[in-house]
Amino acid sequence: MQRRRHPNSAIFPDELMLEIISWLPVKHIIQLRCVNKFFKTLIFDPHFVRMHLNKSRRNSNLALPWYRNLDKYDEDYRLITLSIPYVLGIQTQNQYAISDPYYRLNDDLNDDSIIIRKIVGSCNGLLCVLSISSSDEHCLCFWNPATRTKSNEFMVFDCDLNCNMFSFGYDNSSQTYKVVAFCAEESGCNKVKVFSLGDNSWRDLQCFPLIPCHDDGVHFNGTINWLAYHNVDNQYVILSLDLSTETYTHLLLPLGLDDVDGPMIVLLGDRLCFCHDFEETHFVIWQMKDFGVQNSWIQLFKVRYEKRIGFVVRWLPLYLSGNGDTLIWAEADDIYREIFIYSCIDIIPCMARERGCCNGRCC
Amino acid sequence: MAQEASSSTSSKTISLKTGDGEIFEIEASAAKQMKTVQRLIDDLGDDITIPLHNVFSKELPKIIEYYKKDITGEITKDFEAEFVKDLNDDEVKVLFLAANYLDANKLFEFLSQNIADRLESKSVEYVRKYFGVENDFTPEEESKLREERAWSFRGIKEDE
Repeated sequence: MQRRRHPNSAIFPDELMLEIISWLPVKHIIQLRCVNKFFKTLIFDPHFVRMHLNKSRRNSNLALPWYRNLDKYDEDYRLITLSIPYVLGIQTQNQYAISDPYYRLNDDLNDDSIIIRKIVGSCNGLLCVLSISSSDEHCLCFWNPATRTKSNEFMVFDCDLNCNMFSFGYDNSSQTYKVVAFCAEESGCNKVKVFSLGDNSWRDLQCFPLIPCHDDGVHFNGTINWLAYHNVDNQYVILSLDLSTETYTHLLLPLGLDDVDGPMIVLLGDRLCFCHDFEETHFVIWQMKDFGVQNSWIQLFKVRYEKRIGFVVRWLPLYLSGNGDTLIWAEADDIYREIFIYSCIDIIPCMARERGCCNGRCC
Repeated sequence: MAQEASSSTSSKTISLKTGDGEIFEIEASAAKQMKTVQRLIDDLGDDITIPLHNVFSKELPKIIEYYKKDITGEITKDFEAEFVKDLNDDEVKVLFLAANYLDANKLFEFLSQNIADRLESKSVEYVRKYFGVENDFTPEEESKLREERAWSFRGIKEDE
């Protein structure tokens, strides 16, 4: 079909149009579906999606569960996402974030059909969410905040015990998203299962050689990683599951670390990071520059904090900028169940206060 | 005109001739950043005036200005903002297409981001005009699409 030329415009080859469009946020690309039939099918074209993903890695968002009702802590999360520039723009204390209604999981705040328990993980902008169905069963669903599409709910396998250890990741080799679940059974034996989006069924995996300390596995480049305590060597290690081979390895933490308090691993600045408390005065973040190489750990930050007597400070680093000068972390206050989001730009802290829960994700 | 740069092997300049017959000079190191030019130099030699049929005297100086800054490592966000500040959407488009023809990656990427920024929150009609594409939907198909995604249409500003 001949493209009718507007008198003042040069003809644009398709590939060049794609170059430009792939910089746009998803919300705008969806509007542009009305331009013509070529644009309509763009968001489903794998080549374009990959192009867009590579560019949008530079634009991160925070996904936070948001308490609708502060009096009912254990129920009723809504999911909101906030862009990083927006969070950094909150300059004053006591300012509550208003989320863009575009990104809300439920438009109607009275919609009770989805009760979110937890954000399991995020990968390529896709969120995996654990929720409770109307028949009181745990289910998983996948939510894409940018295109506002939600998958069907998948029942968690039949395990009527503590099945709240889930992790979400992406297997590069088979190009599938996978959820890994850990189940501690009453009889004492443990089970690990994996769910592949596409197969839509759970499979058994080889059980963990070490039991993870924390629920949340951290996804990095086709692996899921947990902090675990090695009883024989008497030290913390990182238990890493390769999603394509479905086998485990141990990764060593920085050399010379003595007893650490409050250890955790997170993904920051596209690298696996290890955080811990130091003598109840500082919060330390290490980053593993080369995955699996013990010598490549470097200490990124040592942040001083004021310990309030009688309070337990719970920290969760959420985001580190590409050039390393901006760190956003959430601090959970046990009494008020509020989180504070701090960002250090040029190491000058500024605070914003969010009503939410310490279970946020950067996606 | 030729700068003495201690780290470069030569301070040679290359002559470029635009499609409308004007001649401009650039440093050899800047020419390296434009792969099309470099290929022509490799084929024709660096003593000859390199012909660029698809680039014109309106845009080439601007491109040269960009790469002059690039070889001294001075490209900053402020410089880039200033660089495009006074250009209208059509002027940026011409520059972008020229950067594509010249295979000048850095400028190409910067301009594609800049155009995307300009198009963000512009209307569907504006984008059609800008890319010179025709609407091949029937009115019914188009209104159905708009309705389906009504929530994505909030926040469009008036076309300039």
